[in-house]
Amino acid sequence: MLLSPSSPGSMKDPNTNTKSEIDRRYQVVIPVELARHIPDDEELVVTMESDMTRSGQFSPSYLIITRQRVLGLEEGEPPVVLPLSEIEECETDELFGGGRIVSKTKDGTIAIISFSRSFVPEFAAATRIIDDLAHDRDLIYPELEGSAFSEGSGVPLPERGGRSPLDMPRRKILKQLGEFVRPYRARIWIMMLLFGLSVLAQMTPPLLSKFVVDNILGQGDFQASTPGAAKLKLNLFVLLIALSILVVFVTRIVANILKVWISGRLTADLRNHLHRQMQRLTMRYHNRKESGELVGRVMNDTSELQHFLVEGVPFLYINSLSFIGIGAILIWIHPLLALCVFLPVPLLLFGGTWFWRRLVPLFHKRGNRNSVLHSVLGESISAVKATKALGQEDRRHRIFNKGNESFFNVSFHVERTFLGFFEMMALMMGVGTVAVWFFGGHSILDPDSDFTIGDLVAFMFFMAMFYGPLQWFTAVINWMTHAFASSERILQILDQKPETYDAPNAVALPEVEGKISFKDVRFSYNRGNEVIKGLSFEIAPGEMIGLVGKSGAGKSTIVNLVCRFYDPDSGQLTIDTHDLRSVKLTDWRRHIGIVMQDPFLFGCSIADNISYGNHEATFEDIMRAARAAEAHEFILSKEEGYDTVVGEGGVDLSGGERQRIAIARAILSDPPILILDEATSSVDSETEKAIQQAITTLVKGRTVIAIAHRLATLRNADRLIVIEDGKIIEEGTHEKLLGLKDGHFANLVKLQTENNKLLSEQSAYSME
Amino acid sequence: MRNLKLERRKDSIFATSESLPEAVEVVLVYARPISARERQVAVLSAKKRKEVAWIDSLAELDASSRAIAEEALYDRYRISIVESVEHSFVNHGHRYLKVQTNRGFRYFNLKEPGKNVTHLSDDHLVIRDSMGNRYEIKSLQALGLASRERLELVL
Repeated sequence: MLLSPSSPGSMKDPNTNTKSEIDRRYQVVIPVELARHIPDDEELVVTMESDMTRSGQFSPSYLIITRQRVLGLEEGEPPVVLPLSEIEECETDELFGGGRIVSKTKDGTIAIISFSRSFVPEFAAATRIIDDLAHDRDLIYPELEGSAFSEGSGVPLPERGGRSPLDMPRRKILKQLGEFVRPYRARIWIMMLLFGLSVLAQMTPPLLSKFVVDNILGQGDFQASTPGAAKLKLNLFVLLIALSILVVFVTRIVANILKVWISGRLTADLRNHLHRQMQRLTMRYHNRKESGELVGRVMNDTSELQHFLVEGVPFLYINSLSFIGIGAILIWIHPLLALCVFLPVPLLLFGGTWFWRRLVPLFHKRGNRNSVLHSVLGESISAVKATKALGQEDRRHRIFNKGNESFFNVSFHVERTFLGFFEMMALMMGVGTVAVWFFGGHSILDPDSDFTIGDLVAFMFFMAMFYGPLQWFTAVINWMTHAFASSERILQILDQKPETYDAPNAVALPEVEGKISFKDVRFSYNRGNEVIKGLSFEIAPGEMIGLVGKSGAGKSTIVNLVCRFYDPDSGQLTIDTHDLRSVKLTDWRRHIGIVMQDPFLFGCSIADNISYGNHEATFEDIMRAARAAEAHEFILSKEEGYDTVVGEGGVDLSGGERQRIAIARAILSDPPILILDEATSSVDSETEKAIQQAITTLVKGRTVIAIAHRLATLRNADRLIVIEDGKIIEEGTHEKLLGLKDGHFANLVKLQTENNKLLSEQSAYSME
Repeated sequence: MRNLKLERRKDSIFATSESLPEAVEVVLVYARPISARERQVAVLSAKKRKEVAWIDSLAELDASSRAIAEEALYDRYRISIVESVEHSFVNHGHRYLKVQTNRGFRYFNLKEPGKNVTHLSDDHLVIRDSMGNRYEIKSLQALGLASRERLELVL
């Protein structure tokens, strides 16, 4: 018997919860022998299952949160029961390979439940719920990241919230891919018809050959009729053979052109969809993925699929038709001999399956060793200067050599197994050939048999056609598995929920005044690690605020939330009077200009880079923006001026130059809200002066959020907000904060001044 | 750190020593948790994670403190030692392993072995699964032929 949260004392959907449905992971059923520890009269808020006991064993354990207490339950152990009123603070303690929820009480720290890495987001959310309830805050069920296990079968997933290929029926993959095929249905039908015709035409020459041998060249018409009539017949049959070869040629060429077009078109469509989808996926998704992995999915997986569509699908279709056709003809000619031909087939299929099962892991292994070798080589080349400087050339070579040897070993293993496979296949087919010659030859010699030389000739023709592709059948089926894996990976991206750009009820935002409000905003990039902890502040329209704090305090996260690269876990962020989640995203981002620490320049001309967010700008507008950004002169000093191609593969620009181009971009887009994220870091004093001048022009009349490590650059801000550990610890004007005795900002300024002094002294010393 | 003494209070550990006359709540961490466990342990303050003491070898501690330290480290470093590989397979390019560890049975997914398998020596390796859980194989040789072959299939 099990106790579920829907039993008496069941979970209620709190009206404070922003989610209409509570995630099922908050409501697991508890084994009844453990459920007896839960007081009957208490409302269950959360019942969660972990995969680890407090002592670190892999075994289920349970977390129960009621309105009054929190319980940690596991079989064979006394329960941990902690009244919420006794909890001073609840947090997740990150362990190596897992974590645990710990509560600080006046008596000390108490561990409530442990979990492996597979459950970090779930229990981080639970920690938050306990802390909220313990401090009489509203109960909110934080939205959970995807599970580490497949919902249906419990199979461990390669990525959270993904789908297990073990659970993904091929039918479903085909159905989803079918949507991409739909526009080209007519062409596909024509292609299949043409391939079918080519198969029929291909079977004609062996049958005609049999007729020629038996009835013209053999004992039939050739001897019975006149030589002239026989020659005429022979010519006619040769012509028919030539015609059938021509039909095969024409149908194959047209069908193959169609095949290449359709598969190319399909993969191009898929790549387009993938690229578009990636542009629209959330930053949270992109943070979890390496760019190389996504590039691989767009390029490699689509290529794998294309390759299979071009070669594999027609192979399976044509050869399946051929097998059925040839099999029927062989049985028609001589059933017993046909059996000799079919005998090695099961051996070939089973043998092939067995071999491919051995080969596939080897292929994977070779792929892995190859990629390791690639990365060692890449590092050796990119780190050549550091290697030389440290005198570690031999060490690098030893590392490479080890990888190289390992790659050689596995490559040799693959090739040896591959070779063995094909030779075995050839041997088995040889057995069939020997059997046909033996039994076929004896049948011809047998005066009672009606088996003719023509039959034997046809048999030989058909046998070659039959056996030839057979050895590849299992390979193609295996290849199909890979193509399905690629399709599955592609569909996994296409199935991801993109950012909601324009929700049906989203508010249009043609203009904004620029008032920004944070109301008790909480946020974490990785669940379990809150970086913004209940932040509340307002920025008035046209106000410039400076965000100050140590690295990792949460300044850039605030900017990310304002740009709506992420949505808060809880709380509200409003622009003017609208909740940011309710406005059209495209409208909102049009109103923001960002100048980042290391601005990204696209691989196009400087002029195009400046007008990247405003394509309608004239060259005069671009130039005006560049002048205002103090960029005009350095641009003109380049050989190709505004036509200079920058970014990937283009001319290298200094940090200051890149930043001034970004400022020009922001000036041109004329946004009412401006974000300066370390806009003057990593540049020399002179460049900083130029950038500061540009920024002074830029900020006029806009709502500005500025982040700077060099605190002096925030002197012009109307207000400074000092952030530490995701919370505001000081707020006020530059002068006010400087005047605070033992204030954080005052201390930071003091430290920085001392540092600057030290640096200038060192520089003066080195000059001497 | 001379005369370092550890004391357990509920689920917390407190340290005292000559330079720490007042007990400070601490956490114990290995300096090299992958390559050299059981040596070189840093004692950090629980709150600010500042180093308050250093232990070269747990043998430096008295018996009671040593037991506390060992228990705390075992608890913090939830790395599982693989005792046998019961099953392994590759499906659609994804690798799966079912293993018996010192902490119990585990079924996990392995992505990109090139990145997620650390070879500490030819015989000693650490595997990180797709969720970041770690599994240590202290000796491939000691694992046995059947387990080695199953492992070979996916690594």
